[in-house]
Amino acid sequence: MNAVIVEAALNLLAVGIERGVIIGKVKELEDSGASQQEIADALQKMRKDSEQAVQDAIDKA
Amino acid sequence: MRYWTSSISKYRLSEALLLAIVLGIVLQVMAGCAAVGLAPVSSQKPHTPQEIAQAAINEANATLTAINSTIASNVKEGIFTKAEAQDYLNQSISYGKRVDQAKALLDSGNISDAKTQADILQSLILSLQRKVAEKVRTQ
Repeated sequence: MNAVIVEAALNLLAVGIERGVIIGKVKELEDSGASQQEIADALQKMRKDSEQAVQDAIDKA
Repeated sequence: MRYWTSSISKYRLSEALLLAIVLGIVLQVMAGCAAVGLAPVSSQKPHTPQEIAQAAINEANATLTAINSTIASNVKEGIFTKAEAQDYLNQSISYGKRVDQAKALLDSGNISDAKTQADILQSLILSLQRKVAEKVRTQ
């Protein structure tokens, strides 16, 4: 039971860290003067790239 | 009698220690959520209806990206089978296409529908995130 709680906590933390990475990239774009449209396009590209990365990982597994 | 007292004390001590460790991790997670997990993607607060709709779309894209990264890590580590990972990915791609549709609505000037679509998607995406987390927990 305790192990389950610890694993759940670590997993939630992992998702939080992933979001933190994305927030950091958005902050870099904002600081470099990117427009809201450019930021939106970058987020859409990040999502599409991540979809391809998952597919590659599945194919290699 | 002394032996039993000593055994109980040791048992309680190890239980208390374990509880303290778990509590510490939970507090770390809560701090992580406050700092990064639940924080908005952009530090700029949206004001106009168009900006609010775009922010909702951005949030959906960011959450899907985080979920995808978690799926990739878990399939690489052998926690998910290929079939499980493919199932989650297909669901994620399906939601991603709907996010793109919301963006198309926004770009065509249909701001209200775009925002509604993005809000509905956000709850579906959070549900997918929970499913992915639950799968990890049952391994």
